[in-house]
Amino acid sequence: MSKQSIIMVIIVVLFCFTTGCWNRSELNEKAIVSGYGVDLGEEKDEIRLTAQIILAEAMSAGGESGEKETVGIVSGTGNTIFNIDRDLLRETGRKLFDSHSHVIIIGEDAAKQGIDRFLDFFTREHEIRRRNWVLVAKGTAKEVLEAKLKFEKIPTFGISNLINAGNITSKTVAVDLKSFLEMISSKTISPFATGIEVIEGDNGEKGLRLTDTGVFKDYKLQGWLDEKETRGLLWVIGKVGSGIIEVKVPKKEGKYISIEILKASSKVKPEIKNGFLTISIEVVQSGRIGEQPPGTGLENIDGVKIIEKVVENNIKDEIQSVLKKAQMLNTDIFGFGETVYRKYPKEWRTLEKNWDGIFPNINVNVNVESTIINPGIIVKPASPE
Amino acid sequence: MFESTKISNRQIIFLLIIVISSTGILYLPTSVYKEAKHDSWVSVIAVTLYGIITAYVVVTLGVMFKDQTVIQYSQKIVGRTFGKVIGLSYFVFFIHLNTIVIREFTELLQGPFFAETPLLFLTIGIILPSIYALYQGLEVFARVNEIIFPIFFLIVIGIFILSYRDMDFIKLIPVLAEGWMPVAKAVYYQTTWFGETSVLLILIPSLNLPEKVRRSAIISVIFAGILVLFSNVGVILVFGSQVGQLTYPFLTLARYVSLAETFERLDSFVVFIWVLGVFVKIAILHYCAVICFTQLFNLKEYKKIIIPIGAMLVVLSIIQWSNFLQTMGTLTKRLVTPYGTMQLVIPLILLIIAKLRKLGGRYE
Repeated sequence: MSKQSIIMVIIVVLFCFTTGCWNRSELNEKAIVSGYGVDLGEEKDEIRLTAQIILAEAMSAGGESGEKETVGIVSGTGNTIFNIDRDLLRETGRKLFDSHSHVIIIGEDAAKQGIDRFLDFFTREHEIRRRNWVLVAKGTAKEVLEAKLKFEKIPTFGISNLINAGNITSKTVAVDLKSFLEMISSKTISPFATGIEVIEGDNGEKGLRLTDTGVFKDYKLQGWLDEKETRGLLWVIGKVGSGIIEVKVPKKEGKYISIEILKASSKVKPEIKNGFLTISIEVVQSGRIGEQPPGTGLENIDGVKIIEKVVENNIKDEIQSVLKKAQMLNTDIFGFGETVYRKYPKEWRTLEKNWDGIFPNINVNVNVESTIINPGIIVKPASPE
Repeated sequence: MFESTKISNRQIIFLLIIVISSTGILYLPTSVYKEAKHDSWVSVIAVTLYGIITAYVVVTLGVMFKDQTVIQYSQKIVGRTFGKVIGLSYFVFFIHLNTIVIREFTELLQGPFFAETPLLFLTIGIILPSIYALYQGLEVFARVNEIIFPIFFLIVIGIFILSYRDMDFIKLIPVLAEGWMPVAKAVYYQTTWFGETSVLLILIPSLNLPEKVRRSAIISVIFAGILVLFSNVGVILVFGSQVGQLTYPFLTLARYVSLAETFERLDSFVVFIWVLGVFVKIAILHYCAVICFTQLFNLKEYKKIIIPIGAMLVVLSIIQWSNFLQTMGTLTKRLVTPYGTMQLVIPLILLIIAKLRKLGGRYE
C-alpha cells in the first residue's frame, strides 16, 4: 500500500469514530420546548414550572391525522426552576431542549409575588434565546399553555404571531426577554410585559387573546394598563406602528369615525427650570379615513380639520390616561428618568436618589399633531345626494 | 535559523489584527462596560492611541536591530547578564500570555457549548494544530491567516450590520457624563490587548521589509481598534445596561440577531471565527515563546522544542486557574501592570539606552 492510501484509510476510520462531542444528543433524545410558564406552587416558596413540548412525530404526520395533538404539557414543582426543569426528565424521558422556546409566561400570582427568582434561569441558561417573548398571564401560566389557538398548530408559536401582529393594532406591547432585562437593569425604568388571557369559545373550547399590559416595579407586578392606556404608552415610547383610532363625531349622536394610523412618532423632552422638572411629549401622527358613515357632515376640507382635531384630542386623552395611571402606580414605564439623565447628567445625580418621590408629581405637557392625508378610495360616503 | 522565513507586509498586518482583536471582541465589552458604561467607545479610541504608541516604540527598537530579536539585541544593549534576564522574562511573558489566551479559548467553548467535555481535551485540541503550524513554519501560517482574516473581518462586521435593526443609538448619550475617570480605568484594562504588537519584538527579523513595518503596525492597531469598537458599540446599542451582566456579549449578540425570522442563530459563526482567530493568536505566541527559548539557550534547531513548550502550555493553562472568574480576574486586574511593563516599559527603556549608547542601525 502506498503512503497515501494508508492515510486515506486512517482518515476514513477516524471519521467513523470521532463523530461528535462528549455531550452530543440526537433529536429523538430531546424534548423540544416551545414555551415555558412559571406559577406559584401549592406550598410556601414553591414554584410550578410548566413546559409546552412539541411532539415532533405528530408534526411530521401532518395532514392525515388532523385531530392529533401537536404539543404536550409537562409540569412540576420545586424551589428552583433549573431543578424542576431537570426533574421533568422523569416524565418525558428526554432532555428538555430550550433553543426553540418562543415565550416565557409568568402567572399573575407569581408576578405579584416577585419575578426575581424566576428570571435568572432564563437569562443564565445558554439555550434560551433573548428573542423569547415575556408575557404575564391573567390567571395561571399553566392555563395559558394548555389552551389552543384555532389557527396555529403550536400554540406558543401562535402567541408569538399574536405579539407580532400587535404592531398592526397597537393595542398590545411587544416585549422580548432582552428588552425586559434591559428595563430591569435600569435603575429607574419600570418594566412592562404583554398580558395574555384565556378566553372561552362557544363550544367550551379554550382560546387565547392578548390583552392589557402588566406593569412591574421592584420585580413585582404593580398593576395593569388597559387597552386605552396601553395605546397611550405606545404613543409615548414611539412604538405605535399602525392601528385604528375610533372617534365619536362631535355633536352627532351615535356616529363614529375610524382612522387608520399610517405613521406615528414621538419625542420626549425633559426640561429643568428653576429646579423644577417638566417633561413635554410631542406626538406626530398621520392617518387615513378608514370608515365614515353618512350624515356626519364632515366630508369637506373643514370637516377633515374637525376630524383631525378630534383625533388629536383622542390621542391626548389616551396619553393622559396612561400618565395618570403610571404616576398613580409610581412606575416610570416611559423611561423619563433615562431621558432626564441624557439631557441633564449632572442634575440627574441628585434627582435619581429621589426619583420615586419626583416621578408621581412631574408636570407633563402633551402636544399632539394629527393630520389626515388620505380619504380612502371614496371621497364621501355612499348616500342619496 | 529562520533566514528562510520571510513574511510580507500584508501578512504581518493581518497577523497583528488577528492577534489583538480575536480575543478582544469577545471578552472586552463586558469588563470595559463595567467601568466606562456607555462611554466604552471613547475608551476604545483612547486605548487604540496607546496601542499606536506601543507599536511605535516596539517597531523603532526592532528596526534598529532588524536582523535580531529582542533576546539577542537586549544583550547588546544592557550587557549579557541583564540581557539574559530580559530575554528570560520575555519567554515567561509569551508563555503566560499564551496560557491565558488558551484558557479564554477553552472556557468559551466549554461554558456555553461543550459543558461536559474536559478542558484538557479542548486544550490539546487547540495546541495540536498550533504545533503542526509551527512545524510548517511561520511563513505557512502567515499565509493561512490570509484566508482566515477576511472571513474573520466579514463576520464581525456582518453581525454588526445584521443587528442594526435592534440598535438604539440614543443609548450612547450622554457622552462622558461621569467624566474621564471611568474611561481611564477602562483604557487601563484594555492595554493588555492593544500592547500585543509586542510580538513584533520577535517577528521583525522574519519580515522581508522590516523598514516598512512601522506603518503596518500602526495600520493593524487602528484596524484592530475598529473591530473592537464595532463589537463594543454593537453590544451596547443592542443590550444597553445589560452588557455588564453578559459573560460573552458578542456571542449573545450573534444569538440575538434575527433577520426576517430565517437568518438567525448566528452564534455558530462567532464560534467559527473564534476558533480560527484564536488558533492564529495561540500559534503566534507559541512561536514567540519557542524563538525566545531557542535564542536564550543558543540552540541550533527550534523545531525540537515546539512540542515541549506546547506541553508546557497545556499544563499551565489548566493548572493556573480553577475557574472562569479567576481567569478573568487575573486577566483584567492583576496582569495589566506586569504585561504593560513587558509590552511598553522595557522596550522603551531599551530604546532609550540604545539611543544613548548609539547602538544599532539607523532607521531607514
